[in-house]
Amino acid sequence: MSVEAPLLEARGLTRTFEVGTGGLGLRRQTLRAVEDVSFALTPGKVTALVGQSGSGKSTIARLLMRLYAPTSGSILLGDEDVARIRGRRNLRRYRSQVQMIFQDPFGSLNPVKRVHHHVARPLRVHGVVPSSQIDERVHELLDSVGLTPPEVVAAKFPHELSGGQKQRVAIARALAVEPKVIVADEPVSMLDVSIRLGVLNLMLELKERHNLAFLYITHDLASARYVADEILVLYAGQIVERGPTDDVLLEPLHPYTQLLLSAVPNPNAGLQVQELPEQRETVAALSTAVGCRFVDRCPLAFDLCAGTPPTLQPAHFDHDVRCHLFGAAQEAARHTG
Amino acid sequence: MTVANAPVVTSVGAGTGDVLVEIEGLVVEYPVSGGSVRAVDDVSLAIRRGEIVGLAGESGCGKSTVAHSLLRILKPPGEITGGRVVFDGQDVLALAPKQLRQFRWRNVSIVFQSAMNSLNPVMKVGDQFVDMFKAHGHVRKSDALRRSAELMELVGIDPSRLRAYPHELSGGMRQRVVIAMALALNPELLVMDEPTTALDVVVQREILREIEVLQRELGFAVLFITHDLSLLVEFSDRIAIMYAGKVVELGAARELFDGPLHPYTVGLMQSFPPLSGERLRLTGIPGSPPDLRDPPPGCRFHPRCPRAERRCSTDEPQLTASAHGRLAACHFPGEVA
Repeated sequence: MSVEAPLLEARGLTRTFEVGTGGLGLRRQTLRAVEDVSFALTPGKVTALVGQSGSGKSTIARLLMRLYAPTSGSILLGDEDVARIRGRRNLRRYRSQVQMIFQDPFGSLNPVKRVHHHVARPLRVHGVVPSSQIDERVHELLDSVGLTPPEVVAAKFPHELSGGQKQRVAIARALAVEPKVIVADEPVSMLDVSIRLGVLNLMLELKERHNLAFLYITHDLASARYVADEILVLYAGQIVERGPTDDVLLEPLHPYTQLLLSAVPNPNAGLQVQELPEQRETVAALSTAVGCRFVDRCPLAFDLCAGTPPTLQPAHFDHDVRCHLFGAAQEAARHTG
Repeated sequence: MTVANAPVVTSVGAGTGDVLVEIEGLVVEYPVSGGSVRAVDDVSLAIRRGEIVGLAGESGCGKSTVAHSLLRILKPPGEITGGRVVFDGQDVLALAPKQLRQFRWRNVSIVFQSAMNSLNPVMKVGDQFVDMFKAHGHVRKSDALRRSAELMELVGIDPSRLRAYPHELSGGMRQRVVIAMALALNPELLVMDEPTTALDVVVQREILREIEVLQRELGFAVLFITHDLSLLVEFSDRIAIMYAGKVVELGAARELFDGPLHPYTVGLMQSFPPLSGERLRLTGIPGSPPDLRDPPPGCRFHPRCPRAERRCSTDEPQLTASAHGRLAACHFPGEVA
């Protein structure tokens, strides 16, 4: 296998939910929380999945962790279809290769257990090292995430740690099983500004040291730019733009990406923002909506957009966009290429 | 304390404008085993009428404690043990409970970080408005509802939504409702404690722009508390930076951003990865804020400061005007870039 071969791949990943009770005159509807999402995570690379709340990014994380089953599409780890994994033992083997870091370090640690317990437990459950070596390995792991001196930190309870330290414990715990892929869902959004950088730097350092494939899920474009090699922009369950980080962020093509960028605080620009009708993304993701899901908020929408859903098409070499504005370019590309 | 004889060090950094609020030498202490912690230590800050003042710093620096002291909503065991707060000529710390009720909401109101969750889930929005009006004076329900409709329009929500329950509104709309309520009695000061941190960037931006418009229309002053310095620079007239219970820098937003004087301000600014320009590995601020039970001697920032010299660990720098004509509590202002 070449180094560039994807480790974990999502192909046409789709997940729908039935919403509405069916009673009280409310019609049952289908919410397309994630629709036809494809991406590949490769070793030593960080892929950022960017979107606002309600865009479906956490649903994708749960699908990858097999906390939800996909409605259609597949997730492949190497050649194995993750949806077909059966049995505790096989599932445990999968999770030893794909680990997750959650947003809330305050909620993901058991308050009555010491740090040692949290890091030692996966070592035991997954039989990573013989029990005689567990203490030593716990200390190594704590040391590797910058929690020093490890003997002291291991004896502490979660409430004795700061938010940043807790998130480092969560990272040490994820690394304990020696995974190949890490899915990090908003790992720094609850941390203080000055601590965020430390955790982001730790992620970058671990990626390099262990050749990990990272999926970094966030709504913060600046931190995505800081860590990611590739960016996927998600709107109402669909990828609307994807490409190398600086291609997407310095030359955004999709009107939604442009909107997101314009909303980031920028002391040199002032509080100017495009006037946009408020709309919840979940409404756009309902099966009753036709056409482009961004059409009601799009300042550049034209007649085609309301009735015909655009497809994700290459705009430049490795920069894809789901927007009718680039239809002409698509046509031209099809004829010449 | 003899208020009458207090030295007139009024309006720290506020210039000669019409001062609305004056916080002077504020000290807030929390008892801990074997002593007390000074969460706010000798903080002076003035807010002019119609001015937007930003207050920034890491969690635990005392920024919220300052705001809560100003409204006298400090939770025990926290206690104001020194200094004074003067609001439009009246001594806030001397107000009787009945006067306090008038003072809060009529003179000053506050929007909290999770304010959107502070609405009563089983009451319609309109009824909550009516309740609030009734608590602050005898009004007829029809008048209260008419005024509520005006307020909803003011913050850009269709007045028909007064009949909605909070769960029927999005997070951004609920936050707008709370802001509308905060403005209901035309306060002269609106305190916003991380009002948009829980919201998406796009919604955050829309709300801030609305507040800016309302502020220009209605002329109230704003004390805006956040850890997001780049947001403050756009939004406020002046910014105060707090570290470990003290104001370490205070100045006009633009000047502070273009040429920060305190090394802590510099570090805070460098903790945000940029959205354009070169992608560099940033270091942010090494270490973590001090334990206030045992603050470091001299300058409280010196253990983390790249510019610290011997003197910094013994002499505490005071907030004084530097050669630049702006205020910073540093022995070497402007020497770290």
